[in-house]
Amino acid sequence: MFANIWKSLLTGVVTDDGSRGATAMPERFRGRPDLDPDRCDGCGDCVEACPSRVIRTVPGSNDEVTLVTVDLAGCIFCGECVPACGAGAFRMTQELELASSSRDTLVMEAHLGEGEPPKTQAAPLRPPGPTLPVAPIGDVLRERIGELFGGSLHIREVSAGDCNACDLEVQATTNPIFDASRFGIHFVASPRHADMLLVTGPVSRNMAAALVEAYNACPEPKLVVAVGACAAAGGIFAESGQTMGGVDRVLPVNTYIPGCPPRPQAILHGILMTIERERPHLQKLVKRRSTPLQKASTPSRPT
Amino acid sequence: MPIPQPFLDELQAVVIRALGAGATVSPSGPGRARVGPAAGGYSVLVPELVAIGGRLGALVATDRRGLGEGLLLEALILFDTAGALVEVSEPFPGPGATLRSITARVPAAHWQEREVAEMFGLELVLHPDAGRRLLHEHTPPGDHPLLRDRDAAQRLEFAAASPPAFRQVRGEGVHEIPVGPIHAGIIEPGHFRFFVLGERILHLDIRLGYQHKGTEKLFEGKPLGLGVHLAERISGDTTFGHALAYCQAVESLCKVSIPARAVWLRALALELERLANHVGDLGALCGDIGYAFGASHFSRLRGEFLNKSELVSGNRYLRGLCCLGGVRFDLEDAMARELERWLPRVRVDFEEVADIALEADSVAARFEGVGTLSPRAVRDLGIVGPAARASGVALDVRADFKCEPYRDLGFSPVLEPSGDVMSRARVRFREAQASLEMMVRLLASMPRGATRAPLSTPAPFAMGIGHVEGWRGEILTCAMAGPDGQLWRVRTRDPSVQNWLGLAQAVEMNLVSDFPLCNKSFNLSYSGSDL
Repeated sequence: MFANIWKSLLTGVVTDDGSRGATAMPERFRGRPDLDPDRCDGCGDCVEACPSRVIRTVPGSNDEVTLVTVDLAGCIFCGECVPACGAGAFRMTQELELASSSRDTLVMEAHLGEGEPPKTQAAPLRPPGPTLPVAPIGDVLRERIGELFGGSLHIREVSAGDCNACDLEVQATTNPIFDASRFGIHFVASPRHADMLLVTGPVSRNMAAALVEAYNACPEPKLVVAVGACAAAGGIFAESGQTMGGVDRVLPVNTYIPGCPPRPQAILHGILMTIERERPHLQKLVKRRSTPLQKASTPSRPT
Repeated sequence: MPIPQPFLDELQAVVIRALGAGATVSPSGPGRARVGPAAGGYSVLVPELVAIGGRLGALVATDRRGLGEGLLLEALILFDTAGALVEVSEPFPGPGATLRSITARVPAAHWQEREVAEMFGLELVLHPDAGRRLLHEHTPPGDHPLLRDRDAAQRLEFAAASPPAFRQVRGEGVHEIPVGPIHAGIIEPGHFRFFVLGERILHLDIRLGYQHKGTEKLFEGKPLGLGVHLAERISGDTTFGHALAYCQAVESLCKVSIPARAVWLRALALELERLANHVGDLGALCGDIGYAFGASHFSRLRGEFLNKSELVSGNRYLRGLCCLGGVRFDLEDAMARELERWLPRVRVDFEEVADIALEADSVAARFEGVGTLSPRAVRDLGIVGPAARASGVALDVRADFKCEPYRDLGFSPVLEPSGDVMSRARVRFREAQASLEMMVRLLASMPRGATRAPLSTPAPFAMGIGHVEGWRGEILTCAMAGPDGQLWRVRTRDPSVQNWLGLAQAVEMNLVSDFPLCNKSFNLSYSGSDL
């Protein structure tokens, strides 16, 4: 018993509370790929090299490639596009908080030649950068969960054909380092207790029915978050007929979190995005709930 | 390593006895020999080979109708003490042909036979439980996804489905508990059907397939290099093990010799992956019995290993590190020094936690004597990995098949005798210690030089084999290329395929409430076995 206490005291607090400042990601960490339209010559070598086939070249009026798109939702962040590009147009940034409420804003566009400037991500909650303490996300999360969910956001995770890496990263949000429960996030066993469904995997055909049933069992507001490349867009399994090719083929999705797998703080960021975006709707629900309950009329019994 | 001659002679005698005088054993590579194809090459010969100490590894079926042949079923039989791998094969005219099950004599074939039958349309006879395994009821009976004329991208309509059939256990007071496919925790889906008498489990029927994504089919037609990324996603926690097995398989097709530095770096990554998972499992086991001290400290430590994985590969699950011909990233000297400084520190930290946790009375009370798996069941069902070693069965690819660099650095498998949850926990603890030790030795003896060798064109329709001791056990991957140099067929047998039935055996007559603990002590992959 004393050994337990002694060991834990010596270990100290390991939770990332932001007090130790921002932690830099390792140099090799691969976040959002970036495409420099000035260097790209539209040769299409990256299209062939991409394992999850998320890079597309779009020819213009004279059959020359004028637009290159990268769908971040299905990107597996392998970085194969970087060496594949002879012109050095691709590089991997360290941006990892990429969640978005719309699939369209996750499609990066690079217009070649003199065209419009490339459109990148929709404005994130905080400027993306290489430094990623959990705490600033957590502070906003705690505040919102307090305001909109009475201090506790209940989440049911459903794994629907993932490889288990996303599951492990969702699990990691609950470990002593990320410790999501301090923000009021709790993972629950029953969808009936859940405010939010986190879904991982491309939705295998064999899980489609169970996933829909879980969704139907959720009470309002039925928030759905697609975690990882497979859930967001089918990922590397998008072309398999044994999968549905992404959660939004089966359920309405509120937020897409790219990554393969997304790091725990990217998942927390995605959860925050969801709440932030749905805030007006959720506030209405809260108002309705906080008005005193009207006396329920006695239900008429069938005779 | 060549196969010893006396062993080849013994093999030849068995083959003649089973298949007649014309059948011969011919060496087919280092440590490999092959027999056939011959009628009875599977259904008659395999039980005979198992009887002389062979172990059923993987079943690999291929649809060769496009080549003017029919279907071919190959079985990889492993002789662990001789360090030999024997390929035997039996031809079938085509879908609809009869496959005679050997499960009654070789229970280890149980799941793989069902998989071959449903994927290739063979009619499985004499099997005790011949239903489909991965294709659920909504799939029409005539659909066999791995036949080559079936399009991988085709999404079938959901056929009207009858409820799944389970084996029935009847008797006074016996009742059923259905669990899943969605489980209580943050884990993969699968359905468990318990038949219980009071609190005791009489029988557990495991129904999987919920994670089936057509992974094997997706390999077909891909360029060799893109197969690595798919292999990494067979089972996320074994990213590196599966990538390595796939790369080995393709490299043996292309006859590449891997630079020594790459071999060392691959071993370093494999041990790092083992550590992250073993330490995480110890934490999860503690979590399942409500032992917060162990759960918190082990999950904290798991993070250390994941972050070091990220340091060397750019990804917490070592994604993107393994590539055909070697590794994509070298270990820079500064990283090597950081690892060398970190290893002794994390080892002390880990051992302090494990010593407290595994010695605690409250842990022993829940772990000991629970979920016991006998050595006999291990051999019959072909159980591999830590689950086998925790029942005292010395199976470890690293030692048995004398693979580099373990051959040079000296390695012996970790064994525990009693086969219960405590044994499986202790095997993980001691293997983690061994891996930490191995990492130190790997770093100290790290050769200099290239980290990647160029690939030559693969021989068409030859079978390359990758054989890796992943953290969960033996991974067998077979790869074949077509005449166009693209992948033609890839088959992966994750250790989970063999071990799930071990779990079903281990929980018999245990309390239902101990099931989560038993399940966690095996910690099997759903995705890896459903592919």
